[in-house]
Amino acid sequence: MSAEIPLATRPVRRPLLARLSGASFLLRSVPAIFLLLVLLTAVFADFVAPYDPNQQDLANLLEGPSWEHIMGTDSLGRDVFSRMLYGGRISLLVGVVSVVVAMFIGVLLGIASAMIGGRLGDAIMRLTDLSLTLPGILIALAVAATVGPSLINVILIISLLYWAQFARMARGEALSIRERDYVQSAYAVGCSPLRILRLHIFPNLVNTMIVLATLEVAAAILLESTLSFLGVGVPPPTPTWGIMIAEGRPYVELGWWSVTFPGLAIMLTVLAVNLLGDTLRDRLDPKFAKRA
Amino acid sequence: MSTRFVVERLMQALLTMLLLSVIVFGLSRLSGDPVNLMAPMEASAEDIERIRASLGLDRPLIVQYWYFVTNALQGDFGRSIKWDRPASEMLLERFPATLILSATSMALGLILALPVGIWSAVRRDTWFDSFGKIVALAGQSMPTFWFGILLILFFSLYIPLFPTSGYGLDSHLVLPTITLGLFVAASIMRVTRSAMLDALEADYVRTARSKGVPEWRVIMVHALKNGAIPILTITALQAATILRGAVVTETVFAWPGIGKIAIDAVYGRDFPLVQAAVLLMGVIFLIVNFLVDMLYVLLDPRISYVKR
Repeated sequence: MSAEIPLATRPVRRPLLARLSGASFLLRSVPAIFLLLVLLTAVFADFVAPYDPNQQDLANLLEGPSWEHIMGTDSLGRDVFSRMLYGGRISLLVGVVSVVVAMFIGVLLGIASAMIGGRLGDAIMRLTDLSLTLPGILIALAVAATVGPSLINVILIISLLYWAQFARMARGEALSIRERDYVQSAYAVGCSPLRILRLHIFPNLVNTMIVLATLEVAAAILLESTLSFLGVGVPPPTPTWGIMIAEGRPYVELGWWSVTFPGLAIMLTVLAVNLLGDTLRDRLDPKFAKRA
Repeated sequence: MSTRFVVERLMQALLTMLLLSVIVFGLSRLSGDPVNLMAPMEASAEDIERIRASLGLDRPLIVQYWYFVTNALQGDFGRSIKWDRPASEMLLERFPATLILSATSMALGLILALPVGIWSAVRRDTWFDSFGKIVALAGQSMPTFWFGILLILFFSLYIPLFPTSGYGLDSHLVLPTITLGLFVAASIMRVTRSAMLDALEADYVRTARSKGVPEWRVIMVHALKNGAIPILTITALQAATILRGAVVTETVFAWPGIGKIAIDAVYGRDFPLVQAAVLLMGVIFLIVNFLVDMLYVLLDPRISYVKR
């Protein structure tokens, strides 16, 4: 055993059991598993849901949780559990798609502003700063009230509110990456800007953007549910978590379940996405890593 | 603080205001003809034309926008279609209610967030810290409206301690304040914790400890003073975002503030009122943000936004 690794560089590993039972391990894997569950039940709601989400049953309205209806029925006798599974579709769809659109716009404008520079670059950044200071939910309300509620509109509203974060972050990253020695030398040997963009800037940008996107998805899901609750989100009869809460609210004293379960679904999903974002940040983005 | 910085920030706030006014104006014109909403069903084409001319809607958009802005600057946001009263007057009437709710919620948020945040940092990685972290995260992930409804369910329907909704008595204020206060507390708590963690590890804290300063004094004076900037910043920023929470909270508790009136106006397609509410809240939001920037530079002279 002559080639033994020096003690100091040997990785310190805690026993397997301690690692698996540790609170940090739980915190890290539970959100991912939960989100996977939400995703699968939402995608396969047609097979998983015990009832048609819009099937009314006026003989059995506001029934408490039972074996037939594990989360009870709402004021029109619809099965709360089935509606919740279908509601997950809207939340996840709106959350992910609107953030992807926002990221696309933001990264494009952010990088453009960093690479072009000059007056145009400054103008783009000024626009970004301005849209960061706009009161988001009010504009969302005003837009939704004017153009009318629909799935596409909700997605567009949210992405138009959220792109600026990405633009600011992408620009900052692109500027600092551009100043690094290897990028400067690439310039010096005659690399085209597009090649530098593809080989140096994009790969360095991906991690930060993934982390930011995850955290924004959580915010987008919350905003979607708020818009739904206020009646300016995806219109009925499509079940969404926010609408379920709004519809259950007048009868909350007679049926706590029709309000409580959809709210729990929102909270746990957003919490899971937030925790996942924190984990990703620690893993992917050393700049943000909290002290060890 | 250099005057150049103040002027620059002021210009930026004014530009944002301009952008907001364009958006608001654009929306009102996108929404279709307001005359169709106002005119009675049996109105003839000539009647509609007359109403349109009296409102100035037959003029070019640029001219309309110019009138809109100049009137707004003089405090004239048009009349509410539904109530037939000046929109600005209605909003000013409702403003105190929002102000009271925001103030009590802010106070509650600080009372909750500061001690818990500080203690979490001091007792880092203990059960108290983990508990505080979970509560803060849950608070940030919870839909405000849902929490408000649950509070009504438990503390006014199941146990009738407080009224479900309304305005006037002190007891009306309790549940909305808790709803909005917790929403505010969550972020302040997280920032307080991390600011105190940074401060407690600094050299001056070690020096203070080594020369025998009592621990409570190290925490409450040496560390807290230096951690104050991020805490003040997030507090001020929360003061601006409280408006967002107020829209939802006021709706849930039928609290007659500007958030509630804005939502009602949206439902009623009362566009002048919606415009006025969005602009008013936008102005408040921008003023608070502007003050935060000023405060930031005053507190920490090392920070200067001028050189970029």
